Amino acid sequence: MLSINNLTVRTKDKEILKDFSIDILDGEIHAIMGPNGTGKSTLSKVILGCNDYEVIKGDIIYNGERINDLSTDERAKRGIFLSFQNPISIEGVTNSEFLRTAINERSDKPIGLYEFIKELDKATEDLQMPDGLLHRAINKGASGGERKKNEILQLKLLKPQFIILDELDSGLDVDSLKIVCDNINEYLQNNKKTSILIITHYPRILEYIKPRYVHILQNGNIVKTGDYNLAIEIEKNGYSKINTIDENAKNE
Amino acid sequence: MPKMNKLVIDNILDLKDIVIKEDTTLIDKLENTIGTIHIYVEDNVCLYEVSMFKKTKNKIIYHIGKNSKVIVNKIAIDNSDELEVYLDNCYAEFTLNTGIINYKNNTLSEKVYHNQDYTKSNITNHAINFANNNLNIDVDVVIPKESYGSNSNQDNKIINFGSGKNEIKPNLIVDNNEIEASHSAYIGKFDKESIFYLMTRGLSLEMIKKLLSIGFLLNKMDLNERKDEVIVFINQNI
Repeated sequence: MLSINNLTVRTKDKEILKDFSIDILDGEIHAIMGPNGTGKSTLSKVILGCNDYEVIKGDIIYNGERINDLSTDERAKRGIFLSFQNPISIEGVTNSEFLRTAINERSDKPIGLYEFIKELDKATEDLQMPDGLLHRAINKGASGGERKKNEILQLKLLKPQFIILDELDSGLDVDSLKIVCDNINEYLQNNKKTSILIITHYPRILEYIKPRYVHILQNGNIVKTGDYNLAIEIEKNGYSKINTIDENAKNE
Repeated sequence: MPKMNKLVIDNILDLKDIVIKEDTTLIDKLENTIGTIHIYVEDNVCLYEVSMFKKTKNKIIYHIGKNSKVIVNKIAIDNSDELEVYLDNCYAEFTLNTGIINYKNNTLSEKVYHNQDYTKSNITNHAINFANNNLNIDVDVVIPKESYGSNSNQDNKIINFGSGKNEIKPNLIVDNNEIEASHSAYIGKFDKESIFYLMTRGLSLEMIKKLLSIGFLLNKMDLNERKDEVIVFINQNI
């Protein structure tokens, strides 16, 4: 589904990703963990074509198509979705206006009002969100947890094929995290080919959404890949001990 | 002027003085008009107004009575109106929410005089300027020594889609220490974060500009059941 090959990315004054490569197949769940400032969130934004970053070299291939030169909205229309670490609020634009427009922009046939409201109501109920969301401005007055739920509500309505969850667990209490993850797992059950890239500091979210691969990102590149147990090791020993873990594993 | 609680002005011939004696909804739709209108709001009355103006150069003067409240929600397309508000009686209140769409060189002028104690004004001007046109927004709020305990707030913003020269003069002329007043002015673009966020949901840049523009223009407005009509009016002119 998504292949990134030798991607090097910089901002004005700093190289952030260095020869970064990853392959994510249909239906796979990958997690990227790493300390602060190693390029995790940069990666998520670069996949979506954020022009704050300059791609020096490398390819982003999505479903066989090189998407480096596509605009952000074109990438989204092809089925890539980013759940933001810090979802912003947008004054004056209501959830209903924005979501209905977004659904219609990616479909030949406009969604009927009744069908839209029905889907929105169902998603709102599934996520245990308050009523009246329809006419509220995007994330206006919403807590961190409500914003994260709103991201997943959008996911449910926009029906992407490739999902990036950037620090989904930050700002969510334990109960809300479970609700959100249950919704994502249900979505995966109904969309078997959907792939997920989870970006996280902590393994907590990985208890709910089990990854096939866990990658450790340091200094803009993947330094180690393992399974869920790697996340547990990181939780136990910290990122600074990664090399030690490697050496111990070799000795054993 | 007969007593009425709903008033519609959609013709230049209607541009004459109005006396508001009871709670009233005033809907005015004017195009290509030049004229002067006085609106006298008597004591203890609420006037709620929705204006859709296009290419007008009118002078509108409000005289607001004691304990009366005027709320004006105005969409102005290529507008060079002058507005004067006289808060000559205690506890008179005036709220103006203007959404401006600008395609030519225009200057809007708004003057609010707090001539009595405990008067209140809230002025919002949110404008979108296209192409290379110049837009000036001049707001003068005058609070003299006689106006004890009054309150005035101004929020002026211009989003510039082209390279036109814009100017906002958010003047506050205050001669009394026992009042509350604020004023702000912003000229710039829509923020990059909002645009990127909406693009990640599959919206094109053109669609985003339209959505953000409508949201920005209507943000402070209290339109109730008139909202759809106003959005249609904006869509016809944006």
